[in-house]
Amino acid sequence: MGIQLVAESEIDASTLEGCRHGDPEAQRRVVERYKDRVFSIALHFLKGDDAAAKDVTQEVFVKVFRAASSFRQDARISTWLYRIVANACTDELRRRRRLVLVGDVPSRLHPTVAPSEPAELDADVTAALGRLSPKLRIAVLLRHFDDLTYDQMAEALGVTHGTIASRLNRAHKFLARELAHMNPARAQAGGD
Amino acid sequence: MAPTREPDEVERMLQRIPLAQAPDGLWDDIQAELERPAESRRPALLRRRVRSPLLAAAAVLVALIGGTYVGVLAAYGAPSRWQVQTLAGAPSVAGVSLAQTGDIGRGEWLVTDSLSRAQLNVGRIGTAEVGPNSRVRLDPGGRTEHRLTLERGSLDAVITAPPRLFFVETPSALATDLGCAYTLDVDSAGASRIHVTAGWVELKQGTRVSLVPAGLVAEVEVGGGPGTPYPEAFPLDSREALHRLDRGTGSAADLESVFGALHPTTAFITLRQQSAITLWHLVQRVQAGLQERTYERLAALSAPPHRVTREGILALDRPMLERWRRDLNPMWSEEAQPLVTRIVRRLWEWTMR
Repeated sequence: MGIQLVAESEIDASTLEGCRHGDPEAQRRVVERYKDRVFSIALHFLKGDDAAAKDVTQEVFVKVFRAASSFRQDARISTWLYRIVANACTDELRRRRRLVLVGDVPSRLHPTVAPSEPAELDADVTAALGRLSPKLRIAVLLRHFDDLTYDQMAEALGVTHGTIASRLNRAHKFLARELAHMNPARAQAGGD
Repeated sequence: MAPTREPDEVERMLQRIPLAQAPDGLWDDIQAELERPAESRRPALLRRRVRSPLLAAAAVLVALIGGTYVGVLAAYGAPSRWQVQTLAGAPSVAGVSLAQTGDIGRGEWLVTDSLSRAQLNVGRIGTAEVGPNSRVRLDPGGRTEHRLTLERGSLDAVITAPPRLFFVETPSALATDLGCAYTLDVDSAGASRIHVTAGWVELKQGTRVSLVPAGLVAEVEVGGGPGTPYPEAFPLDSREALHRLDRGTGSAADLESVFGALHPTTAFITLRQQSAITLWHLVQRVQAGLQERTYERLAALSAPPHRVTREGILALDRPMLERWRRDLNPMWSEEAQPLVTRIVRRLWEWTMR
């Protein structure tokens, strides 16, 4: 089974203070806390391009630490970080669209974690996710990988609560339609 | 029709997407990036953004240059053997009498007697008709250089190609085609005479160069350097005066003789510009005492263009001279060409120079 997704507590105040002052140890703690989630969001948003996902992940943390001194103490670092993630993913997607003509964009997802579930099922789900529009896809990924509330997602993506609700609703309907062909029995057999 | 899954079931299926583990060494990369000096900072994503377009641009540039090179070779490549056709009589190639058609290789001579004429195909860029009593040799050149030696006799060349692809060496000068049609005669003493009917020809001997546009004639004595071009109808005494001025032995009377044979300042502009080309050469060749008078007459025939000054011309400033020459008679009819075409042509002239 893949790594269990459990909402984690926010970074403590002393770590944030350390980041503001450029303390490498504090920065490392933030990276350790969020690196897999940021990388996973980027990886699935970019449809499995792990080199690009790694670059995006690196860029996100570098931006966070360079701008840490301006971070508001009353804000959640995860909200801020995910806003940067969303922007970096969108920028990378634009870049990839420009490069489609020279064909350097991988089209398949290469999982970095060996799935313990039936491979076809995972592939179908990730492929369906990849067919979502970028705006719907990032909403689903933020919701899935860090279980952000609608308000936190709205703040991270710079939209209203209602827009988030609408996007998640549309995404779920789309995925339900896309995955309708799958055998429910097999899906259940994989275990929840 | 397949049933649609309930949203809750979709949520459960999404839970199956595993959390991927970030690559090892991520923290080291981040730390290294944070420690980089400010001036060299550029996030990895940005590096990728910049590198890829640069690579793409480099690839496009290489493809363009390669494509252009291949295209130039295909259109203007000089073959090692040229086709020859008999036009009259019995010309010979390499000592063998030519049938109706044949070819000539590098180092071989095409010889015509008083009754024969032949036509050479100058690769794919034109033709050269060899007149009676001529000796012509095909010479080796570069990949695009089409080279002949005209030892004696006459050659009528018609070339439709960019400049500096066709060269004819004579005992007295090298004639370089600048996109043109001309007749070149070489007498038994090796002196050359060229009459250009379209475009331009450059005549060169040592460091001395004459640029001969359509409608003008130029002569070259062996060891004397190319003479100043003059209009076709120039009288004999004025031509002799011109030769003396070219040799630096001319007098004020010789200069007046030349002025008198040139088109008047009231003539049609094309004729005035032809005469101005004569003076453009002469102003560089006459003695100091005659130079100002030559300039005055040149300026009266065709006013100097923008950024060309009297002082500059008298000092023989090369860019100014070139600017004026181009204004008098552009080699490429540039007025009708778009800017890009003109730039490409200038580049071509510059690279082939």
